[in-house]
Amino acid sequence: MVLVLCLGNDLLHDDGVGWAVADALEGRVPPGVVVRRSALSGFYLLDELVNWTHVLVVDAVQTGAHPPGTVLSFPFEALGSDAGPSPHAVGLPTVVALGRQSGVPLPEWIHIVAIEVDDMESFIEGLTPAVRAAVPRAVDVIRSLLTAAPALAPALA
Amino acid sequence: MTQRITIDPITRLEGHGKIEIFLDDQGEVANAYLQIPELRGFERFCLGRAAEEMPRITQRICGVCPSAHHMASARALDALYHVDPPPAAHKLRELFYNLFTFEDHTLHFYFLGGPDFIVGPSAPAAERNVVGVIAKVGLEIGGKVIEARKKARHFMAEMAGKAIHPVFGLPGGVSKPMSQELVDQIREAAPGLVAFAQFSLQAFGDIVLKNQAYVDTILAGHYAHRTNYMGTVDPDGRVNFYRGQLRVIDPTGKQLCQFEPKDYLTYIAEHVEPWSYIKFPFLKQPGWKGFVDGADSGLYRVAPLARLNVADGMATPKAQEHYEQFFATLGGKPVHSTLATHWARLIEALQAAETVERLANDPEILDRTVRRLPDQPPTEGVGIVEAPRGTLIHHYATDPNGILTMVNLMVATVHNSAPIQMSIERAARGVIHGGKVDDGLLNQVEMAFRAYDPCFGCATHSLPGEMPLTAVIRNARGEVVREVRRAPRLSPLA
Repeated sequence: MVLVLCLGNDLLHDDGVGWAVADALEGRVPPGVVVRRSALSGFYLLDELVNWTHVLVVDAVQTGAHPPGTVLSFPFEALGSDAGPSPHAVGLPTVVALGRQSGVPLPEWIHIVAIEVDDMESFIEGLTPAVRAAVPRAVDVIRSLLTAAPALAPALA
Repeated sequence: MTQRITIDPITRLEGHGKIEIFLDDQGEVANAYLQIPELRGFERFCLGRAAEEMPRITQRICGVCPSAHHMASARALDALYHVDPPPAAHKLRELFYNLFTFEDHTLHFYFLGGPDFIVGPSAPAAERNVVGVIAKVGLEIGGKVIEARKKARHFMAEMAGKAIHPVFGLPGGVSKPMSQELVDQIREAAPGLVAFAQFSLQAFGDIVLKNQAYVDTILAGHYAHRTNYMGTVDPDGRVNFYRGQLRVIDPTGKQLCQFEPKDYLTYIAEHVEPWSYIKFPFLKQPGWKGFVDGADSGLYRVAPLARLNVADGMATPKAQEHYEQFFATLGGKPVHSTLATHWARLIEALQAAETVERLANDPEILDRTVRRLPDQPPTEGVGIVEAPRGTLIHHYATDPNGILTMVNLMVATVHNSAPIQMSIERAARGVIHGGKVDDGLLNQVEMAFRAYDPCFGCATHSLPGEMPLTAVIRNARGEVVREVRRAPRLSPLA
């Protein structure tokens, strides 16, 4: 089984892109793939990841280095691992690192599909046009990964 | 001429906290400012919507404590619609909320706040984490934490539809009654939750309290602020997370006031500074006296330490024993050391577990009458709960059709905003001398944050999720002479 974990908050403008991708994935994933939505953050993501072996995380990202709507696809290991200054701001790399070290059964394979966003601090429902246009591209990237990533073959067998 | 240092998030410029430190000609800290941007447009987003939507909307404000917002919102709707839920509904909400408090406090202690203590505040950052905790407490603790929290979250999900975003609290009650099967499961599990909280306090006692150096650290003036405190108490003056009156004490422990949630604006006002989006709450009596602690300060703090300080005791017997030990060890009431919050949190986790056990064994929890339908037009309502990080206030007003015309939320981080501001300035003054900024600056500032576990626009959680910070040190001419940067490393799709 493979989990596609779509993170987001559909009340905060482009932060809802993860959930928009989840909507677009409905009925379009191979057997053995489960799509879930979550609005959690920090250490609470541990609860979402525990006991899965293969997880594809879909989320918004704002690096400022790419135009809004750019779809980024990279292994989990490419994320930085510096801890934030507040436990509220603990990120996925820290959560996974500390969870693994403390013996929590966490995925052996995590891949990230992130969509560069424009605005995710305003309470507005719906996505900006560039980010909305990126949803089908993100879906294509995810579907390619699910069918072609060698690491996923055993999990979907 | 002052020199200006900015610690600024680089990837989400308006999404997180920003610290600016101004140095004088001698390179000493003249001022330090913390800016916490508001989530933009929340009130406008809510206005014009049906008030019943608020428990669903407000829980999305925070990816860490949705259950607290959900419950504060449900309490506000009770008041808005002038309807008091039946006894079983209150008990079900209280059971749910204590499960939440237990799981949040234990997670915070082991993974977030505890490492500073269990491993030691001066340990290298690389060891100051849950792995260091495991090394001290024992290999099995990671599994124990996960198992205890898993049970609590399972029960929450069964009661509320979802543990993460509950669909449970309604004006006048809850969405479904308790089943015999579920209450049997909770009864069976509850002693294990109590035992886990006791184990955690035992570990804290063995590792921290038997080490005089750690106790000295807790009591050190560097981490103390002599402020007023606010928290919710039940009719017997004991700590309550779900409902009660708000009590405020002064820095000597004398009670200043105690009031119903609906009257909070009679006692609390908000100060505005030109450099900050966030407002700084203060007590109208004695009034705003600036960012100062001590006898005349108008500032107050919330959170576990504040709750223990204001209450006459804990509501459950085992927690009460630890409450007495807490104040006996730390020199009586009130305790001003911010770091004592970690100990207070564990005592509260024990009360939450004991409360779960008590309510699961209360026959009324199975009563099928769990909602009283409103029969009056809505007007205005205030709902207050004690979130894990402190008092949470939801205040709504509507037209006669229940359409929102006013929304005001005060979260724990807002109540604590001025004391956090003081803590940061104190940390900066401790680190920066003679114009030299030590490498420890970032970590010292982080320690000041960490004690409060503040929430800076935590509703968004884009990857990687860390709070990116850059410390920019500028010389007197405004030139950047040094930069310490944290940034996510990402590469685009090839």
